[in-house]
Amino acid sequence: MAHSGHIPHPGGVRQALAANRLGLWSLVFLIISAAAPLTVVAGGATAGFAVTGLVGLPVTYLASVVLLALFAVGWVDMATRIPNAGAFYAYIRHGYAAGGGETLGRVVGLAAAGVALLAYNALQIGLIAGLGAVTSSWLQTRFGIEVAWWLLALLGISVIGAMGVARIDFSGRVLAVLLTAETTVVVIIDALAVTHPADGTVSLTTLNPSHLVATGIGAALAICITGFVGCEAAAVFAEEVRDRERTVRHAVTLALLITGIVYAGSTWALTVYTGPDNIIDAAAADPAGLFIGIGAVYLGTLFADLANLLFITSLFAAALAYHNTVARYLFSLGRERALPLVAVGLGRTNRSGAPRNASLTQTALAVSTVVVWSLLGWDPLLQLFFAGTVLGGTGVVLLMASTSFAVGLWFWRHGYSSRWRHLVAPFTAGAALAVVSALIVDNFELLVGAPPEAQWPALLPGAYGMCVIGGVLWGLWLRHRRPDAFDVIGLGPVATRLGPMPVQAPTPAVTSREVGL
Amino acid sequence: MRTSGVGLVMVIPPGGREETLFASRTAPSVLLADDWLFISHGDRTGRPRLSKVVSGLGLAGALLAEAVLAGAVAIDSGTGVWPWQRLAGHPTGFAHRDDSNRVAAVVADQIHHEPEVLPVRVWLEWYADQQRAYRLIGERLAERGQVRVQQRRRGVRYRPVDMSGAQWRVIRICRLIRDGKVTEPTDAVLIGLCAATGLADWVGRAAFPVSCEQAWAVLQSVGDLLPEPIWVLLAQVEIAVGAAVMAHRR
Repeated sequence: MAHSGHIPHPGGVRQALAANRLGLWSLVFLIISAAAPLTVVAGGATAGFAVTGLVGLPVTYLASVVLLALFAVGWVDMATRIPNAGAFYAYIRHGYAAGGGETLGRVVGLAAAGVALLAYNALQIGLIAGLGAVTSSWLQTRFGIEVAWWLLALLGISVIGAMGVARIDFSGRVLAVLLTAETTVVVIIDALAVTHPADGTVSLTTLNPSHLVATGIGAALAICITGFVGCEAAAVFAEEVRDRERTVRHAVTLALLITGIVYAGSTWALTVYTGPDNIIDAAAADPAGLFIGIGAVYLGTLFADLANLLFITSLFAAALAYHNTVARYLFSLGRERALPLVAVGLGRTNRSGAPRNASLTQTALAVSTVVVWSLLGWDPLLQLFFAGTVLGGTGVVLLMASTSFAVGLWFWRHGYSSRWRHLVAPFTAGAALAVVSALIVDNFELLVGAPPEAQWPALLPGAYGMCVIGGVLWGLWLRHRRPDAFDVIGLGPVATRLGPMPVQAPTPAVTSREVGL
Repeated sequence: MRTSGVGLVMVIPPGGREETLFASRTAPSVLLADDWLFISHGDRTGRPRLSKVVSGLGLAGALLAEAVLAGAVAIDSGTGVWPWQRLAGHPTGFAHRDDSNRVAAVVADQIHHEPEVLPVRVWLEWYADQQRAYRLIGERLAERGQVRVQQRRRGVRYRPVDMSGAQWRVIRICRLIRDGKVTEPTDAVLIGLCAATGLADWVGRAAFPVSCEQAWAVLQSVGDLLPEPIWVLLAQVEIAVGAAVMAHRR
């Protein structure tokens, strides 16, 4: 029996377990793949030029990195101090409870969970519609094969759904290969663009900070920040990394820097290639094909095919990531029994340890949305991909804003070790993100690229208002009717059926005295 | 949380804050981990009925529960796990050397080997990892000729020699979950593990379809049958299983 459970040396248990956990680069790849950089550069950023009519997008991306870094400093510190607080609504519960009492924390936390569910579902369904539309048009232009977008989208949903139920994720290695390939393609196209400037001169004008005060900057900021959505997944994995404090902080920093440089660099390269004065018209003429088209011109169709394939895999990887995020949220809420009793099954797993019911629920939502869109003949790119991802991005920005305030309140109440990191940065980021949220809501029809006479875009952000009201009312109902469920909102896996548990074990010294029986 | 009055020891850390330490004196030891291994694995193939990770956590829970009931280890209110060695000579003598249960003694030795008092969660993960709990329990069964050992590419597998004996254990536990007439602490632990790992939803035979909800309900009714550390342990198994579902799969 000697080899069973043999401990190599004193203190070896934690070390041996740490070897199973995520390292820095695995985490970096995980979070960047949810941000889907090639999708952002080839799709979102070019559309951003067309939609906002602003040439200052490159410098706006850099400004977004600064804003998100400001958000991240306090939030990462809180993530390493509260165990099992992966999801936004957990921070919000703890933060607002510290600021205004337990009831407030739980009610606001539940409202945030509703916002998060809508946001991540919108992102996932938007991406899957984009996957269908992009693949369909690529198959048609390249091989002359006509396949309806919704058929390809449903195919993508089925594969993702099956992976969700069987509990198959892309391993860190697969994501690393895909992301490295994507980034290489982006860098090659950037290099081609910069070495073939429009008028023979490489202009730095679009990196000039003066663009940050242009009119319409709100819409630009919104598009840029939406490009980074996915980076917030870092905290979800705080439990699974080797060294919570260092790994999460470094991974977030690296992910923000890498994506920020890629976005700013690529948008700048585009403006060099077309010339800063022509970028808006060029982007408006062909928003989805402009970036990869540069590769096709200089390196041939084979390179463009590779880029298109990676574009599709990047959409798929991001859609899978958001599917799992939604499944985790639903599973967590089901386990906390915070949902209506009919939905308690969401907290169950199948034999392979997958949150099966939660995963199937997301798949069903995605299928029904795609079916409705195809039956009504609505446009998948504009009304599902753009509208869905912008709507989802808006929700994540709203959540980030409220999380920032929650972080500040939490440190204010529970003691802070750095006034700058734990109070000034979170409250400043919260205020700035709240302003950005307001600007997004104000410019929503512009952001989704809808014609000015269209009424539907104005209604979409209102859905978040409904989520908040619904969450608050449901929270108050729970408080009266099922206080046990109300108490554990936001605790995730720590919400046990056997009552509250200490989440982190103290390690008392070995001195004891008897107190009788 | 329940208080069972089985054993309470106060531990005063250097800071002066009092911590309650729970131990058990439910001797003599019963080999509940053997039963759990049979229940949680196929009676013919010996394949785990749950995913690798969850199955490992269940076995680790059974192993630690057995060690607690044997008095070889104790668990404090902050979920820290204490081996008998650190409590030896203690006037309560709840945690004690128990040579009749070699596996529990090995577990206590391994836990004592670590200088730091680690939380149950860490030990659950440690024994779940690399089939550690599975091997400790399986080898004990193999020594008594109750299972056949199969070396496989991805680790070891223990197949029951007596299939009907393994089946009988499953039927017995399903019947207990259905009828709720639990009188033995070891049965209560097995039902608790069925609920905490989710096995109850899968183990039911056509004759005895049972569910996790039923298992939880039975567990709520057993009350004082189980000592406090077992409740802490079961809750930690449930937490670890939930966290494993939330975790990114590598």
